Amino acid sequence: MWRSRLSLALAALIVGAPLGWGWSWAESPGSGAAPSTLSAQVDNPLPRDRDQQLVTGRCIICHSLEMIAQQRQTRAEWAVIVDRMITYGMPMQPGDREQILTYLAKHLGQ
Amino acid sequence: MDQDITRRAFVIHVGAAAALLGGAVPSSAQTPPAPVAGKEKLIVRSPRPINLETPLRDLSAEITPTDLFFVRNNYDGPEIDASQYVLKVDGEVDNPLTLRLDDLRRMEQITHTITLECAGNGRSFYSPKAPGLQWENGAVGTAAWKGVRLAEVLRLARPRPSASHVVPDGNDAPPTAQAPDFIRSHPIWKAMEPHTMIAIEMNGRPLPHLHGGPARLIVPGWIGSASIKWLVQLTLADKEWGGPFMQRSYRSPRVEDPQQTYSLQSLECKSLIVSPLDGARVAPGAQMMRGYAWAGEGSVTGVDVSLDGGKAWAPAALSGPAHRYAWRGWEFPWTAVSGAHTFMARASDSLGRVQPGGKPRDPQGYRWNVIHAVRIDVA
Repeated sequence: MWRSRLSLALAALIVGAPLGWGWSWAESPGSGAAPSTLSAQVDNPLPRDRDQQLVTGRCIICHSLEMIAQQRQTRAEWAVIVDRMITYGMPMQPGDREQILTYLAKHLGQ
Repeated sequence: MDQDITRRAFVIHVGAAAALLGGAVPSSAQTPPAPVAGKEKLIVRSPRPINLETPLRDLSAEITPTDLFFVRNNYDGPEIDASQYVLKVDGEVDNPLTLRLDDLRRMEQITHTITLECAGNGRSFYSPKAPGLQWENGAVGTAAWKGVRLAEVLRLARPRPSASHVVPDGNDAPPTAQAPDFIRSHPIWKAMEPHTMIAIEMNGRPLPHLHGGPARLIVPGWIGSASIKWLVQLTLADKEWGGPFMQRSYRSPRVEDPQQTYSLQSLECKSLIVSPLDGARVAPGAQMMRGYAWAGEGSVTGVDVSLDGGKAWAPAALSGPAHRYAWRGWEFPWTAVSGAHTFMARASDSLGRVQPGGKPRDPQGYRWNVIHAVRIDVA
């Protein structure tokens, strides 16, 4: 039951995230479409940059953005994490992986 | 002699000591996440899944109050109605069981004071940074856990001779169909150890949901992830669980062959100074340094303290009760004289382990037990 309800919400997000919904929902509390889990993320802890929304949309499906923002990893280390997340069902479009890794290595590197 | 060795260790590991004092990943300039209801004093490391750290100043009591006790979840789980709770015991057994909470309540109840610590506690002090939640010192706490011996439940199920491992599963749910269930197994010898229990109460109250209620495992002396929350299934198996939370996570390199890893079991030998706190301003005169030490499967045999950044060491007095799997209080009277001071505490245990002055990076940031140091000013 829990799982199926969650899956439904996730399916909506997975479909929506590549279209850029993932974050715009959270920034538009008046839209009425934002799942409650996203409303807590109005203060996005990820560094602002061109691909902040891309990373936000892909990652917030499964976990809070604080999980990412507190990390400092090399690009190679981030690749291990992102590739694992892809096996866990992270939605990807062609080119997303490189964009995400570039963002993470630039802002949350070591 | 011992002091000389220690002094050299400090010189060698000066980089690690700097990391120890310098500390954690810089905090975000953003608004911190909202506190979690019932856990308002805790630091929110992650709101989803919920991961909460106890500030060191709130670890001052031998028993950590439940509202101050850390929370570590790999996945969140739905609340379970206690009246609907069911625990299944199956696998390599002759008598599969289905137990309700009342069945557990009717069995012999035991209460033990036991310390839980996340394997990644202190991860933020590794340099370079290791992946994972950037815990500082407060993913540790001690509670009075009440419940039934796991051994008694297993005996009712009559394990077959082939049953060499217990595979517990909780009611937490991975967020996608592809993500692996959070399952970690235990060898049968630890499951049958008389302190290993299915807990249904914490600090005299029904086990709260955030701590795995209505029922969870408590695997004493082992890394926190062994103590599976929201326990709904115990499967007896003829081998260790093969999933990624057993075979990839919660593993560290072997000392003799770092290319090989081993599955973490016992906690390290470790101590924390809880008073004075790092950065404290202390009045001149008679003072008391206090802290806790624990050692997983070992027993704490002593805590040495240094008032001068590790040059000279003196034994602290162990205080309070000595429970088999709980941290041990310690204290050391000292006279505060003007100036800046660096205090350190170093525990040793019955397994011959002594806290190190530094340690090589653990790839996943586990097992941080480098000597705790605090800097204070007397004025």
